[in-house]
Amino acid sequence: MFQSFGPDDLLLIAQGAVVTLVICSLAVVFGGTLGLALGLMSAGRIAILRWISAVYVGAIRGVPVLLIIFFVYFGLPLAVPGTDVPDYLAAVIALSVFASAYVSEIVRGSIAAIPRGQFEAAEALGLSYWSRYRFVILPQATRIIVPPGIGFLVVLIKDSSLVAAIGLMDLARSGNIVASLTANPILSYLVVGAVYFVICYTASAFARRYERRLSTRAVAPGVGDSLVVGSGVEK
Amino acid sequence: MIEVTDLRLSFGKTEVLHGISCSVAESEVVCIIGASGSGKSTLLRCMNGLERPSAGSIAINGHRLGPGEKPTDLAVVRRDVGMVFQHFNLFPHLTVLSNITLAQRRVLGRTAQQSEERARMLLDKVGLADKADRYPDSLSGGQAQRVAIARALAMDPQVMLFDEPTSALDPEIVGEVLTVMKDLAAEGMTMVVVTHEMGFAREVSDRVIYMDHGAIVETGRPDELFASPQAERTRAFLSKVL
Repeated sequence: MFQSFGPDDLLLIAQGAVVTLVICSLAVVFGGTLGLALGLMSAGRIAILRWISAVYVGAIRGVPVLLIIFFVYFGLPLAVPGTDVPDYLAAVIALSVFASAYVSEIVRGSIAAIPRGQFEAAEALGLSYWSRYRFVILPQATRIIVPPGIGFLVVLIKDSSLVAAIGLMDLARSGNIVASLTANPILSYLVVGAVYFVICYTASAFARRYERRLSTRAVAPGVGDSLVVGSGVEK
Repeated sequence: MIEVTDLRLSFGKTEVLHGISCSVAESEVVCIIGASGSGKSTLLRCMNGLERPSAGSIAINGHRLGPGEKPTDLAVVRRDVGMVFQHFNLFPHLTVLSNITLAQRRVLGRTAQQSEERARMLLDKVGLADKADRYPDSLSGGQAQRVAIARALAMDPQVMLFDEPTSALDPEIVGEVLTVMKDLAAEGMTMVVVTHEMGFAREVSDRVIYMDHGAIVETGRPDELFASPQAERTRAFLSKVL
């Protein structure tokens, strides 16, 4: 009645890996965009926007990812009667919401690490808010955002396994299925774990390469010394 | 050109400028001197809207900053007023050339070619034509400050504000920045300079303002103010720094 671990099982796990990659990529795009907006709101001067951002981030960070997934999957149809939220859509929304709160904090922190003089010089030159951020602040903030951003991406990929709880056939759930089909949970989860590891390790390797590239191009502010850069020009 | 009227500014409950009134005429070079914490940098920063006064007003070419100001006036003032900072504040991720062309393109709407021509002309003027493609990190302090001056000049300002432009520099390179500033003054640029360089104030400025504890104590032509200060506080300050 049990089959032995074969190519079909590997195929199922591969399909699960694709699902995980797709929902995480979409969560990075949507959550990243929303997180950037929230981060800009919390770094800005308008009190009401700062407050909205703080409440949102505080609420999301205080709730387990699994609950966010359940809220979206079971809550949205209740909030808007007649809608049916497919499991993959619920997963993408929930992970985006989750990611946006953390990205917002990373963005806020990186903007706070940019020396005040950079904002002032950009203002004194008459640059508009958007120009200041687009050409002066965010290019510098990006260098600070990338390492913790990739760190969070790894967390996101691993935590995305919780979407298995609403039945989505992601990498973790495909491992579950294969484990019960083959009655070989150790081998199944080893393979699944290896796939997670490869995905996460690749992401980290990108981050390391990015940091190395930055350090060879000696342009301030570097990663880690961001809080003590004065002007970045006195040597 | 600049008309400051009963300007007051508070940080929280502490008032740091207590009703300042002064004016700067076209082509005039005014130096503001005084001890640290006397409010001279704060006054200067009010002149381009980096600090927002709690009462009173500043008019620059008829554009008024202060409580109830119009956003359009702030934009015009920022365009007309160039500022040079103590710590240069060059954009570290941009080359020297891009530092100077960025605002020309985004604020004045100049083309890449126009802004680059202007930038190269100004770099030549401050003696750094060969540094156009370098990054700010690779410049000495004196070079960085001259680039910062070129960056401000590229906007064709009517007024240039200098906030202790040589205070972060090693003594032996202060001169190269002061030379650029002297040339600028000689060309008739309207300048307001917060400085500890008494030699520069005496030699280049048309008028010196001495500030203490958020108020103007004394104003006068440099030869008079340095030679025979009227107020007791001015005398005490000058005897310490000269």
